[in-house]
Amino acid sequence: MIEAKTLNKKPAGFFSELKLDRIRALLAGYMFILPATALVAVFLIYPIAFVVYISFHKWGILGTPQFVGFDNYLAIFKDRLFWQAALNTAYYAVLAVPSQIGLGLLMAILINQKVFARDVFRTIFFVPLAVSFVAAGIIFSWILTTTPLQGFLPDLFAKLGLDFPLWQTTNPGWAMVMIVVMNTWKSAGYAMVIYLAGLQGINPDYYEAASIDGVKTEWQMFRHITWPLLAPTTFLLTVSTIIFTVRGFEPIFVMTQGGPAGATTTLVYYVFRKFPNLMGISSAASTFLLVAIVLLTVAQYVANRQQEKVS
Amino acid sequence: MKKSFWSMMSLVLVAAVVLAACAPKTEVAPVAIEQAATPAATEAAGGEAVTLNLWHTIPTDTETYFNAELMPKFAAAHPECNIVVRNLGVEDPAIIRTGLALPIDDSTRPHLWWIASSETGAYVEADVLADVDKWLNDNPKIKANIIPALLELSSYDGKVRSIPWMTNNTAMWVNVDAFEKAGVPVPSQNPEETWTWEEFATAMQKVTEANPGMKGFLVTINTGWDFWTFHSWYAAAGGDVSDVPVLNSEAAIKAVQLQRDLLANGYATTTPTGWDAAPWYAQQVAVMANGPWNFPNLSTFTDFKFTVVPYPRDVRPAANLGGDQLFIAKTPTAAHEACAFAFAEYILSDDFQIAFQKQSGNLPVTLSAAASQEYQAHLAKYPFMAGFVNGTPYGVARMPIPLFNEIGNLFTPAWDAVMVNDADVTQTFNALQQEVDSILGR
Repeated sequence: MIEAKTLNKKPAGFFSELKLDRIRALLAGYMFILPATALVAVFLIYPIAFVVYISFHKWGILGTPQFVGFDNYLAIFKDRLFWQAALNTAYYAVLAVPSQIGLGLLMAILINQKVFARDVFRTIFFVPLAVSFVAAGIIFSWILTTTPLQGFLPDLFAKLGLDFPLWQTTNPGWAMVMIVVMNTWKSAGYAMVIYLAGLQGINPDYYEAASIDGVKTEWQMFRHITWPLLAPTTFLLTVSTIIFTVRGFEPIFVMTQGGPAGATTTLVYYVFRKFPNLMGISSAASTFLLVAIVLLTVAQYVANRQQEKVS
Repeated sequence: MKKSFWSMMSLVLVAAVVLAACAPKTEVAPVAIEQAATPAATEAAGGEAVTLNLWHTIPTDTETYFNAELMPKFAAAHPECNIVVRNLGVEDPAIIRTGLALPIDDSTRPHLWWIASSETGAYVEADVLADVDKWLNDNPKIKANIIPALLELSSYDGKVRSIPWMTNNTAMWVNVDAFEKAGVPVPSQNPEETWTWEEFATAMQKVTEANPGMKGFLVTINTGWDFWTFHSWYAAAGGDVSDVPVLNSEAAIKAVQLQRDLLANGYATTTPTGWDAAPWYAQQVAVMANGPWNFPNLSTFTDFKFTVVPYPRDVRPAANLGGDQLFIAKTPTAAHEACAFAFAEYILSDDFQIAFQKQSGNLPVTLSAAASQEYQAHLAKYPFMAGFVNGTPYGVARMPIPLFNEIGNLFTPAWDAVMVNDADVTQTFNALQQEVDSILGR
């Protein structure tokens, strides 16, 4: 009979062997992620750290950075153009994000139907994503320009007896709308693809069960089944679209250069304008933007978690 | 299993290290460039040429001529100097500053570069420039031959810091057919006798009323172009040009109000791309401010009769001076410096100036080139060019202080607010001047 003591007695070096195995497993894991970590460190962590470092200095690329403490941050907080840029950024996000997501969802629903030439439509809706922002900006500038030559759309409006907003001059509030129009045309395809994957991931049994339970119309199906089940997809898209929109530069640079009257100068464009003469201020504004985006993203995650708990 | 796994990982690691060590070293230029030449900095010893890097953004048509015709002449005259030319594509000061941040003996650092004089202050503060002032004082004939206004433009803190390469200004492009239809006389090309502000405003009204679908003047918004052209109006109104424009002065307010009134009365229209001559070519406007670099188009334009005249004069005649300079960096050796200044001397020669400016449409920087028979014959062939050339002596340059571009960035929204949003001129420009004083620490 094997005594309990013998049964319970661990073989010699058992724990040390276990520890070694664990260390080996950990090391193996770290070795696999080392190349990606190195890339992230060099091309992401280091530049961010450098920008934060410069935000506490006065520097113009040449010469040595001079430490100025929080002066750059005080300067941007006192600058009315900075706050105008922050407001413009929020305005841009409020217009652009729902437009892209809404249009993307609509297109995804449409091409999820079994219709003739569905694949052709999918391609057509996706092609704008392959066009560069610069090309799209130039095309839309040509289509929408109101001064001093009339673009295609203002000309059409004029022929129909309608007024087209003078977004490049006396109606600067419309300038951001025109940028959003271009941005939505170009970027909605991304949301469409993500939503399409989400739609195709919904089990058809839910719809069957719902129709048995009395859900009759397409709208009710969407409202009670499709939309709630797309919540994770919507959350992902909202977070990513906000980030991409807020840091967008090309549409503004190509179409309006931040004008007219600063109406389309977002925080990113403000950063661009301050570079390279006022790199410290430019970096302080960049750091502010980074922190704002991180906080916004965290807030969204927290809100999403709360909602999941409730549901 | 574990042993074979670790063996494989070790092999992979060793292979990676060996591959990295054996990989050929490639020199990476600090900026994206169109031409891929990789210079090697070599000392001039035993007949070996010294290599200098010249960074520029010469427009394509002129660049082709420059590379094919002008650079070989220098190379033939100075075999001890090898100048490697790189087109940066975009005149971005940050690209050049990044290159200058490299060690002085770095073979990829720019030794010569072309950029506007507004960057001078930043270079002086960083102490990266060669002593051009001493070189010019040691060569008084060369110095005396440079147009005096351009020597001022090239100076900072009382010393000349760069060499003028080409100069330009803006002047009023006039649709003569539209003026004739309105019964408005075409102004003189002599800045001392050209139209006054009152005559200009009246002309814009008459031209607008007589030509349906056409406005008198094109007011620019939304870009640094408006700040540059503003200098002409400000100087003409008697503004102090010894320093940065005083933006809430009587002259400044008057200059802004003039164009604001034209817009308000419907005798002008706006554009966010002031340098784009399309509205004028398309006869949407009768008069616009633009420069001589459009010479290739203007010289063959026949859709309507046109001419170029100076800015309207108020207290005095004025124009805005621009152009690009040749900057020379501190170099690692005396041989490099000798080649750099040899190149400077070459670009100031009559042969170079006449050929380059005829090709590019810009204006010569030396008195002898401007007065030469060949260049005068060129002007005689294209009479409209006199409108630009005559304005040069009255030109006002952008101040070469480090924060000049930042002032322009503040100016544009204020200008737009007045022109586009009907903001009060005095109030807006008072606030603007406070902002400018704040960033200049005044």
